[in-house]
Amino acid sequence: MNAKTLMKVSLCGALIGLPVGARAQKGEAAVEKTVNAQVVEAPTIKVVYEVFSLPMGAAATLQRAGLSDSDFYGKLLAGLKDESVKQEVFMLVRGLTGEKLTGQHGQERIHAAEYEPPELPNTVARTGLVKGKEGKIMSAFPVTPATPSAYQTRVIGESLEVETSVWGEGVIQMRLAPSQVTFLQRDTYGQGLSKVEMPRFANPQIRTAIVARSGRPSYLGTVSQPLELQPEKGEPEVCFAFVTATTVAP
Amino acid sequence: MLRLCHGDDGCSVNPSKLIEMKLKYLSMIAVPFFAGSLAVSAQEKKAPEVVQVVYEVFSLSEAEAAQSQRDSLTDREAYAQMTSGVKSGKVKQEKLMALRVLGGQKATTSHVSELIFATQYDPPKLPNQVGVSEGGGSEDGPSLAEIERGPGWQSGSFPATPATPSIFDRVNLGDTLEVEAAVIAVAGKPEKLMLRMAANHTKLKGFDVWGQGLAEGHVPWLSKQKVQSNIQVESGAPILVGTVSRSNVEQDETQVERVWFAFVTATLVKVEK
Repeated sequence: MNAKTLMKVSLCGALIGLPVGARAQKGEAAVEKTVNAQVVEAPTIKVVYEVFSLPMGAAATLQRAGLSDSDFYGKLLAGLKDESVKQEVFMLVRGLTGEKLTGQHGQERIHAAEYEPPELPNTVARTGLVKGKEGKIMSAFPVTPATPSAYQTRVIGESLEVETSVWGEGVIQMRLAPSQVTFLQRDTYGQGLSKVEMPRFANPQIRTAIVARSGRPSYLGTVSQPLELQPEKGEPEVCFAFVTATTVAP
Repeated sequence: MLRLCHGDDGCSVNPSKLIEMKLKYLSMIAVPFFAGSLAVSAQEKKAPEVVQVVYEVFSLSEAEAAQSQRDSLTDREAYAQMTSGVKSGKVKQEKLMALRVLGGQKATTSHVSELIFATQYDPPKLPNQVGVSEGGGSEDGPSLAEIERGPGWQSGSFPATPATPSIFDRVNLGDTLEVEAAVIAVAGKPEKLMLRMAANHTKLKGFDVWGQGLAEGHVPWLSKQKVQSNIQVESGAPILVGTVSRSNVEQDETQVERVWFAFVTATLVKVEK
């Protein structure tokens, strides 16, 4: 292989990211060094996710005001001081760009998801007859009730999943999936021995992607609670979600 | 895949020819790859646009709603009429949902609870054979107290088990908004927004009972309002996308029927400096 040919091979290898050129010049160590240097250079991002609640009327007025995100956020912070606004969620995650970051403030709850039906013997030779409380004759027989046969795990609480990338000049792109799960009640189906229960969860959530300036609060949207968690009297509450992503100096 | 061949195994390509082939092959891969990375670098300079979508629902009496439509108001005027009506108390704001989304991508917000409900029931069961009952009292059988205390025994008129829920499904109760927005640019300047949206409002009204006695099964009764649309809008201009009124069956007969108007306002958002 002449020098010209070797140069061509190295150039092509470099273009497609193959370690041909590196290996030809300095060996495997050079490749490892390059990889390590890339990891160090990846910026770290801090992401703060906040949710504020306020009555529908005030929320609609604020939404229509056409404020910048910073002013919108400022109004909510001012509302916190005079107690017209309530902070519902505060979460923070920090990590390298390009990686998926998750935060969770929750507890795992395992609930029945499937039930086996009640069982009777194939043959009941005789039923015992007994007098009930009202003097009625009743028969007694062997039987088992509906049995939970499969379970599922659910995390109750707040969770945040973020993936970030930097566009340059302090602009950060984020893919976000925050959610807030609350256990509401048990719903009952069937009767007597066949009675089974299923949980009901409130789960307001957002799935979206945005671009934002580093260090500036950005409005994400609304994540209001469902009807079951709204006040019984008065106006319903609207929850505004904000995210503030900041590039952190190493 | 390239294979290094030797003359004695039937391959007649010599090593220098093979290197030339490798170079040709690698350049075929490398050139488009390199061009692709150049394109990515060019895109990286300009961050994608963010669109804010605000979805609002207002309710007013049927007569006033019909009149407002007969007046042939523009969407902007109709929206202004709604917001001023909220202040005077004639109009009620029923829903407010908002969502930011990147141009060309789909985003959702859900203000919901998840109801798990039975969709199938196993029928009641009886034993294959039942013997003759003995006695008229408690001489041979266990006492009622024993039955109540002990496991695996049930008192009733006959050995049988009721219908059992066997298969379940999930439904979201509450409000969901799904949007997909695209920015239409003319000569590099964003002119209009293309919006694909779907809003759903689901409420649990109660449970319907079917069957009787041991065979009774319960299934949920849901109220649903939905609007799904594709629209082209100017940034910041409210648009009436449709009505999401409750059906006549659900409305309270003692009160005046109300019409729910759904408005969408999509706005191009600039990243703050």
